Amino acid sequence: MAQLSRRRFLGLSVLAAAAGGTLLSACSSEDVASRVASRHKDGILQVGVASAPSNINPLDSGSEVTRWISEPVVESLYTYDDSLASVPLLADGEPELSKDKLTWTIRLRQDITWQNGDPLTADDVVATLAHVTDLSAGSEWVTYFIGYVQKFHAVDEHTVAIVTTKPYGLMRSHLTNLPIVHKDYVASKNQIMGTGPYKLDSFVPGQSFVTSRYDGYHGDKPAFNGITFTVFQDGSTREISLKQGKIDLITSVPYRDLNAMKNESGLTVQVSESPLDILTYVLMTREPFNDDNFRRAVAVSMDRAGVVEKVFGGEATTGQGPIGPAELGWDPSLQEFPATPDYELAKSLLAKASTTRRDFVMTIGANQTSKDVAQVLAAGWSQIGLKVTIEQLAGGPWSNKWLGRDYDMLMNMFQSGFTSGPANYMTLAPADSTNVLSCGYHNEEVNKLIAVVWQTFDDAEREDALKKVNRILAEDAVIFPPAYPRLALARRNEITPVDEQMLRVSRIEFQNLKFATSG
Amino acid sequence: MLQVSGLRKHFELAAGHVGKDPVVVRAVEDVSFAIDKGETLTIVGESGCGKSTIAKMLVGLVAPTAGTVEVAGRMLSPDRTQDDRRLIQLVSQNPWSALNRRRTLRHALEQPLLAHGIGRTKADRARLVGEMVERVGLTDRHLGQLPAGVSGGELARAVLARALLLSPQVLVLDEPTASLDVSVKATVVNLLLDLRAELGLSMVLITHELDIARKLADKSAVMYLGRIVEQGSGEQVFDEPRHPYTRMLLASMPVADPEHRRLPEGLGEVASAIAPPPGCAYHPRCAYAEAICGTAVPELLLQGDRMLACHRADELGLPSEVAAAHAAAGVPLPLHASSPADPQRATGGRQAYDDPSDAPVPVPERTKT
Amino acid sequence: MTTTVTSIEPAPVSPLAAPAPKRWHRVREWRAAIQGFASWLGVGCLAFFLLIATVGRIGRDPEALVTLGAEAPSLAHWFGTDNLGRDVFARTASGAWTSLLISLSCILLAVLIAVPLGMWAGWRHGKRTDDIIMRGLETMQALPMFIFVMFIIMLVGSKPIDIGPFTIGMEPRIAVCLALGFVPFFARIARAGTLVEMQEDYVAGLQVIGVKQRRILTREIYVNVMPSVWVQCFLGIAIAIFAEGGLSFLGLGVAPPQATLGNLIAEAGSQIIGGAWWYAIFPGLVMVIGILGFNLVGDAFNDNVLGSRGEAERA
Repeated sequence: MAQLSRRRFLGLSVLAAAAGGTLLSACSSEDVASRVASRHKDGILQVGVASAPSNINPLDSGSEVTRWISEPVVESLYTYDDSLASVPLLADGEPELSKDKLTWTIRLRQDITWQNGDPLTADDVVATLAHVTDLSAGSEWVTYFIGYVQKFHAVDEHTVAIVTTKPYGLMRSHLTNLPIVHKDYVASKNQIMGTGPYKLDSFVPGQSFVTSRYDGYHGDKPAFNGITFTVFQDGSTREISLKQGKIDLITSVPYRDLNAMKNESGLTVQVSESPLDILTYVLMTREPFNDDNFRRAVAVSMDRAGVVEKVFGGEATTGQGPIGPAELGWDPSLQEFPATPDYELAKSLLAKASTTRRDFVMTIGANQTSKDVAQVLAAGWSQIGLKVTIEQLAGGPWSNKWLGRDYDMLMNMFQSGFTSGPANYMTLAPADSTNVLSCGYHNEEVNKLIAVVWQTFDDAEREDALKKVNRILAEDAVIFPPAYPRLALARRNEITPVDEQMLRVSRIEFQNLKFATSG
Repeated sequence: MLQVSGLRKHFELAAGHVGKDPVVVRAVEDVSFAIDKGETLTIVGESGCGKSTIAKMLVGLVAPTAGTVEVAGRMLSPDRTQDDRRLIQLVSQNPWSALNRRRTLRHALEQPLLAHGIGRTKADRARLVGEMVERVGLTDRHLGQLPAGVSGGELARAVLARALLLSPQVLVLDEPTASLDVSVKATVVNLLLDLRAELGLSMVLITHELDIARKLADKSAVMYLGRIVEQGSGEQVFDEPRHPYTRMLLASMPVADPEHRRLPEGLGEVASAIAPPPGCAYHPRCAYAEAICGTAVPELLLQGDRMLACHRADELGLPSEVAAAHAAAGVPLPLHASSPADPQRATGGRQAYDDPSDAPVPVPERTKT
Repeated sequence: MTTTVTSIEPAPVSPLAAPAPKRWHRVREWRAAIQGFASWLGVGCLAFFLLIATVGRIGRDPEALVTLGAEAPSLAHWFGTDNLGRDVFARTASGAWTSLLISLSCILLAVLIAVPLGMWAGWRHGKRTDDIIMRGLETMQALPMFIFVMFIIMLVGSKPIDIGPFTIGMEPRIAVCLALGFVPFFARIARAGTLVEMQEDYVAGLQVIGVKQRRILTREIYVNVMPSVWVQCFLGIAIAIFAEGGLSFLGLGVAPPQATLGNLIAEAGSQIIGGAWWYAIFPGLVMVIGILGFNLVGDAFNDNVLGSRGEAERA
């Protein structure tokens, strides 16, 4: 025990020394610049990420943890253009839709080869779909297809047909986000075989991932000889490594350091609106949140301004309903809740509440941001006499609470760009009383609107339905996140900027980055 | 009063190597003796001869391998009952360690009363303790002290008091004075003499201090490597020793006059109890050893006026011869030629001991300052 | 076997203080223990730590957001404020209190379990009971204590447990888990102490008198085993504060927003980068001072109360 503690003290002093060292090295930014320049001679982009997946299969997880690493390796049938419209990538042109809108016929490009040299065929797409619709495979994608997709098959070597049970307009979005993987690798948890410009050569679980250029890539020739991802779980370590020029780009800049990082020379902090949500659910089937007045009291006394300023350093928008500024259906005119808590209103609502409970448990994910948010909110709620217990859980146990409907209030950070693009359809799932994730809210209108969102082929109709749902859920105080944080990353000025438009769908698009020409 | 017969204790030492038979140490071999009420038996011998084991067997701390202990007609079981324990009590060697160092003397003295349910109330017990404390020459003031706060002599008295609180018939004293200063020894011995007379106690005194043994002995037994080699009245054993070992012991007593000093007639060190010599255990050291001594173990037999275990008892046993030998060797005769006719002993009166510090209630001694 | 008295100097008794009550012996012993610079430094550190943990908490809310963001130490906020705008002094004081409570209750509980167990094993030395107890404790010790505690906490989980009207939060659970980790440590001390005492003449003496074995164990041997246990408690508390810090550091500690020294330092580690040195320095300093205090005082008692005997019993 003493050993561990000793190590901890050592760790701290090393950290302190590192911090001191950083201050020193900041004075000599030319040294850093020359170090970066000499490092870049190998043509490799060094990326620092916050965490590493245990399972690297991009078909299994839509989280940014997995997908940022697989982004340069795999591609999907369709992709986003500069205006975030869906355009063909591996597909050869727009899909052909049958008259009853139930059968989609997709032709594939014939000039595509996998990174092992095999040609892309319809069998690969079928294998991919089979994997993500297989309940036993444990893919996160299963929720996007189950109930809608009836069957799929290869029509010929380069044509795939997908038959749905009912009109499924949202499938275009899914096909724009779902990576297509070589048929022999769809179930692999330690190998990725894609068609992208970089291929995964090797990785050390939890530590580093090494990719190199795929010379047979069908698109523009990749700019780097390779991209290496290194995991730095500690935010400060990530930042120091960037400052010292050991890496070129870091994801997940700790929000509390944003302002300090913005002032660093040689670095650029890129902040963008993004489908990054603070999932916030209350269980309406039991006390105290089954009480409308209690729920409203909690919602109006939520310290939104405190969260925006203290946790996100101002890089967030005050929260209202479930849909944020980077997402389809965003309604800036919706101002149901004040930015600063209205404690008087909350107290009068509480007085009207039939529940006598003045306490609840807030179950949050195991990350610092969630913890900070929870602490600020709890401090605010204590002003109206609510005793909040914060319970911090790792991903698995947290999800179990959600699925088992065993919570008072659930909260976690969730980035949806890799599954839903510029939207977050899953955020709404708990509001649908027919959904397995239902939080106990029952509103036929909401159920219908959510069905429209999934089924319609008309984007304007979908957006309109989303707006309506968003407003209802805010007004009924069902889903009321404290803020919509922006996505923040930082890069050295020696590489070109990340496309801000793509950050709106969570994409960094490493394959499109280049070394900046010095000047 | 106390009847001991065939007492035997064998210890098994773990074998040095796997598969070997364990080594058996015969610490005590076939020891028998008896004492009457008010009588004192002293058991003398060198360290390691089994004296202390006998003491432990007598009070039930060690279960005998064989043999019986009978007090006042009652056969004591190996697992002593509380009633068995009340009959025979122990005063252990070192007063410094005989009492719990973190408990007051009062606590220590209350233990026998509590254990045996003597004295119904706290006040009763306090009275009994107070009386006993006074009897052994301590005061109430000592009772509040921890053992470290009082002197060795006072501690010895406290230990004695504790044993006496159970009103035992027999008191076993295991080296009661060995760790005390000379001046204190005298007071303790005098106290024992007093108590014996007052209470009619029977005592078994185990000691290697021959002067003390001689002082207190009505009967005496001499032990060598677990066996009694000579047993008789105090006068017989101390004044007219017959066994070569007894003679050697008495001869080795420190002598004040260097001109009279001479080497005892025995030779060498005590033999090992783990591997005792064959035959008579004493024969390697014995000046009179013959062939038979190396082969046969001599039995303890009545030889005239006493019991002896020696093959040559007949030849060496004449008292006059012994006295002559003593004179020739320059060994002084015993300090006091205390005979049974001694009027003071006979009346149980106080006998002066050659010590100036002898006083009925001594001032607190400082043995360690 | 008869060297018992040698290490304990008999305190000279003046006839005036004659019927000295038992307690006096102890006070004298303990006062005699505080000798030398290191010991006094330890007492000073301990006093400072206890002052922060008790008086320091009065009238301060460790969870209130008092400033907009992190602020450097000032007259209003002696230790500055953290990124959420909470007073670091208030959090440090409250953290010290929580850490102290957890450590104290953990050690007390450990002693409560370990001493009877250890003494029983010592009493039944070489017999089956001793064997079973010691094998059990060895099994617990097979894992390094910290890993063992982590394992237990993982098993127990971190969600509040409701037993009737009572909710068992994280603090008692950490205390219990840490206590389990300490049981072998104290049980060994108690067993070793009992073994040594069993050899003492007074135990045989009491047996001859007819005092029941259980009574000898609980009334006589017990008082001689406990001093070395108490002394080890001081060191135990220091280790427990450390361990609680380690658990909080790994996120297995008490739930936010409750502060402990461990989670304050854990959070501070990643905040130093922003130049907010006060986050880590002050709670860290208080923790180090507390641990130092408990250690030095424990050492002083060990050296001066138990002397070489204490050494032997610990071996």
